[in-house]
Amino acid sequence: MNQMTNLQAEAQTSPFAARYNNFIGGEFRAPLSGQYFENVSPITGGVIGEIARSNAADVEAALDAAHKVADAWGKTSVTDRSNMLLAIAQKLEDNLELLAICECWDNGKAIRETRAADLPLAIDNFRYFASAIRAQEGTMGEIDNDTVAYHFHEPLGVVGQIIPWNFPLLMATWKLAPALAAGNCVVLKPAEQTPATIMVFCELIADILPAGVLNVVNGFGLEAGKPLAQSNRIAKVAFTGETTTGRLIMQYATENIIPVTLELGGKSPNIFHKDIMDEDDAFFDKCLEGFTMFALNQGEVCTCPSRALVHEDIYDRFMERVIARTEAINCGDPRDGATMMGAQASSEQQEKILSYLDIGRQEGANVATGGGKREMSGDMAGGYYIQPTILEGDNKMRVFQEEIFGPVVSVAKFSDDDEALSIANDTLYGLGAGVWTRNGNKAYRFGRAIKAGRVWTNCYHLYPAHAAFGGYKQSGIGRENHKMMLDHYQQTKNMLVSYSPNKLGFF
Amino acid sequence: MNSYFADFDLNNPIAGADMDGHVEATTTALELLSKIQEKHGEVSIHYEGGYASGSDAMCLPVGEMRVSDRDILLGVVAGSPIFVYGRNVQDWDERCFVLDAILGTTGAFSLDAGTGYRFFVRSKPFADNRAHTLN
Repeated sequence: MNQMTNLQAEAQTSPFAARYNNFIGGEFRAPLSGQYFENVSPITGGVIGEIARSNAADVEAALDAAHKVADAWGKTSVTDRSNMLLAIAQKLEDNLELLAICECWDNGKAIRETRAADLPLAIDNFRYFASAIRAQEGTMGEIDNDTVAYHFHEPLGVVGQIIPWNFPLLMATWKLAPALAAGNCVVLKPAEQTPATIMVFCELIADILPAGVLNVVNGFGLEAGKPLAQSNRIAKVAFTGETTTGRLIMQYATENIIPVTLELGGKSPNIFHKDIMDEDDAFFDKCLEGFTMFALNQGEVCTCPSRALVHEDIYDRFMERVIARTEAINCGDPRDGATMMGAQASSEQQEKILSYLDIGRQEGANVATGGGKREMSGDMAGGYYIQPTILEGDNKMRVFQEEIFGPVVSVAKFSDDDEALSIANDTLYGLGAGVWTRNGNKAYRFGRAIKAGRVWTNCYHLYPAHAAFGGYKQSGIGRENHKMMLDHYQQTKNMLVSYSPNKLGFF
Repeated sequence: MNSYFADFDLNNPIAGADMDGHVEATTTALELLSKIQEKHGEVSIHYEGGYASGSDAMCLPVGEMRVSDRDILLGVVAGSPIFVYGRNVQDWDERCFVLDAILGTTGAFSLDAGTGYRFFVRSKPFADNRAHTLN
């Protein structure tokens, strides 16, 4: 058993127990090696507890626990599974404030966002898939008068899921909810940067799911994630993370001939047409917010609108307004409900962003605002903070082509629609995009012409459970959210039945 | 030259770029590399400027990553080949790839995980380091 999470913690105090073990077979088990690693909060840079440092043996134990119950779990009725997902959602809702505090401490993000986005979205995702699985039906095809093709949805069995650190609980939910709804057992490896909230989640829902259905193994990617991805005992692997690891995971999957879902990088264009400035009204205000969305979650979003493309006719006036909006971002204590932007998730990430700010300067990009480390006081002095930053330059620069994963937007001008589209699509990635215009026809043409899986049109950073999310090009394979996601976690069983008493006549 | 390198002509790299001085490593990186080589044998370094841990060079056992036409062998440090991948490949025609190591933990399957250090990629102009040659 874990030592207890402080269920009554206020935002200013870390709610986490001193140590968290793995969650395997419905119980909290110490890692077999007896080793732990330190979990650091990006808010302070200080250690907030110890986490199981698992290896291949722990992954095997988790797979044992999952396989033991996989058949039985796969045969539960969709009503039962749906009810369990609804119970999980309710449990999360009842503990929203606690989990919001956990995510804030674990990841460093502002509690304002965990309360308003991470948690409500996670809760809704469980409810959505609870509904979707109830509504899902197989098909029946009448091949001829006496021959019928039935198509059943069957679970894959035991699946492996590797979770990123940017929305630790929400990204786990995106993978867990459809997998569990579809009747799969899961072995889940959280990111080592953000390993704690998911353990609090396990404590909360331990009595809802049958033992072994969900197993969480913490540890380093190399020591725990890799054996999971390589295992020939998983029927599918889902991964969100960087491209190089994505390639390796696909490689391992080819050895086991299993499907993969990959959600990789992005360098999403956010296009501002000149008609947005026809009026200085509520819609234009929304456009200014749409630009500033690069700072949501400290820019640590794979769909971060990190390339803003602005029509040359409005460029100067628009920039003046968005610089002011960016400088108005409240960058206080992430634990304060009024703070809009928190700490970067790790010292590594802070270091990486700073190195890109340096690269941008070397390439000749103009720093319109921000551009460096954000110094904080008190217990936050050792935390990992960056100023929201606007760079101006051109699309060939590295800061326009490589994913910085920080509160940094690179802005370029365009002169006409063709140029805007050409810049928008001049990227390896194709995850998200934004289009801002008062002209519906233009919005439609851009939406269809941009090679990306999600084109936000006159909005940005909305993640409803029933809109498919995923990448074109090198941004990945497969989708998350939407009921189509159930297919990613199901086999198709075709029963081809002849009701004819007569032989075919070949032999 | 071992068998793994036999596929690559170091004098005529795939990138078509001058190998001389294209890569170098800091003392800390060489120390980390040597520790990893001691424990894991031959390793290769893979770098893709991209997602979250993209600026971490990934250090893998040789052969772990199936190397494609689009993995460009940029050079070799301490016997370990350095491959770059993706859109940023051409940038290395203009800048020297500097393999560094700093305190921290990599988040991926890289062999530096758990050592307390992680590889970190920097770059610098060629002009002032042409004298640095490959091992």
